[in-house]
Amino acid sequence: MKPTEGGGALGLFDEARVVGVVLKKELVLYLRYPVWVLFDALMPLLWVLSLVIYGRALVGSPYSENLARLANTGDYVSFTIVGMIVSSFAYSTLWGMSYALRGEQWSGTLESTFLAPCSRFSILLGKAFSSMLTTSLWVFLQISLVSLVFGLNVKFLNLPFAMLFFLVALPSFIGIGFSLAGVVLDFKEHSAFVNFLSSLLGLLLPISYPLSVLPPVLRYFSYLLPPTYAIEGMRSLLIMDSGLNEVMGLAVPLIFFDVFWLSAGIMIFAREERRVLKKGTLGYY
Amino acid sequence: MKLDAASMILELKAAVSTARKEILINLRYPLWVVFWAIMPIFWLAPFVFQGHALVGGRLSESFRELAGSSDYVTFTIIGSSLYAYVMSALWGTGLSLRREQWGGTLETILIAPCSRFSILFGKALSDSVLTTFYAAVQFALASLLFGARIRVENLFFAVSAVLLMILALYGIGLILSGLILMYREPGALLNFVDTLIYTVCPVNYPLRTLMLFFGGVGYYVAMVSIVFPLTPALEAVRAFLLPSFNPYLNVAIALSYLAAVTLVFLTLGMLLFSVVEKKVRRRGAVEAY
Repeated sequence: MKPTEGGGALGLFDEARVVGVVLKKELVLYLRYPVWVLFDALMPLLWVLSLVIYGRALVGSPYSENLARLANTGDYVSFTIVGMIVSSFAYSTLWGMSYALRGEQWSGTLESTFLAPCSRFSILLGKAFSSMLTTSLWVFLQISLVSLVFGLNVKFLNLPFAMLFFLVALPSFIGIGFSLAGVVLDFKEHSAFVNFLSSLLGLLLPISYPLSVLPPVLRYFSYLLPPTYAIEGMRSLLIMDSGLNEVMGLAVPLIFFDVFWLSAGIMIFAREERRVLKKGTLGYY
Repeated sequence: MKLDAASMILELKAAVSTARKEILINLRYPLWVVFWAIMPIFWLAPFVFQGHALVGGRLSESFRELAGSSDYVTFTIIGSSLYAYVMSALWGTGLSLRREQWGGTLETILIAPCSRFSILFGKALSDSVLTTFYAAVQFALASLLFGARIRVENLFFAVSAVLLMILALYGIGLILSGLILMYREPGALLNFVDTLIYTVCPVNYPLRTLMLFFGGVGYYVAMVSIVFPLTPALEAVRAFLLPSFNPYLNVAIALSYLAAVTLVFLTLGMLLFSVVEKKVRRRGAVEAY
């Protein structure tokens, strides 16, 4: 990994160790706030619950004829839950990485962190992976609970393929996270920006409805977002029992997004970092 | 706090000055004003699109059986517009003193020669004014985009019910202000209360859905829902505005109940806040971050 300004020239193995150490530190910090841990574990269940109860109010049963016509499955409970799971990973990247450096700024530790002789991206990756690890744990807990309560109809045999498909989507999520981390580094106040993006994603991503119900203009914007393909692909594998070859059409744009967002993310972060270092505002609150 | 007319006028002036100051500060962040005016549409739209995906239009037969009206779009527009007041009570009034702590101005404010409640009332008043603006923009935009069909002739009665709900929410705001002053870190608590209210109150679905969905337990969930002033207010407002709406709570019962919870929450809020403030002062932790 190429060393950045102020960073040392570490080998790939050492950089991987940095990622591991940052991940561990973030997990220790996370577990120090048990109320937040409890919140993260339970709240997404309530969010899903309100969507599922709303669905029941609309159709009166767990099956929608109209959804079956639009999306090849009328089981809106499983449809919504798979959408929520994939989108929660997208959100955790957005919040996790944009908050990562801002959190260091709040604690006054950003400058010391940047002085460490390693690549900034190893630090960012460690933070992103810790946020994804906790999300994975909670998603697992939520799937178990939801399966128990609502009877989730998911093809568990396709789970390894779904995870493989998710791995294809992951680099693009991380690339977007890098870009956000860079922007927040310079503009500081991230909550309005990330809140806006989260709300926009909530509208554009096909979480509780198929893309076909969106007005055409919104649908085009939705096609520009990597999580859209991730949701559609994982839904096909987990609910519609599609094979890997059937979701290849969705994997191709994802690979394109991976290359695009990783390059853009690294470039944006490096540029913002240079700007902040030049302005001398790195540790500013 | 003295109760003679002159003192009351002075307290009222303190409250109005606080409200003016808060509105002024809010208007200094125009991006946030635009955000709160427009963003709720982004939260409402997914429910409208989900409705279209599940029933293929703006009318639902199942909704008609549960709520009397099959127009789920107008139903959710009314729900999300009123929900804005809950968010304001939680994140505005509830956090107002914590924000003074963050700014390092809480001690100065608490030594002002007026009642704490005048200051808190002023903060709540500014939130109500701003939220009314946001809710009106949201309702207008949503009606324009998705088409709300309401009985305009009953608007006056609906607004009266909303005013009663705002007073009850002031009480909840006071309770939260006290709790946050005591326990400091409010994020998890506020998020939890926010999500709980959103899930159990009939913001997007009729109250009867809880019985349909949870079976026998649904009745108890509905009882929990009724504790929050939003539920009787939504029942009353929809009964006034939504054609053929069949409320779970009779309008007269909903309004009487709303008046009762307003009294309970305001009294409870004032009592709790007084106790907490004394405790925090004794611990010398007013300004502790």
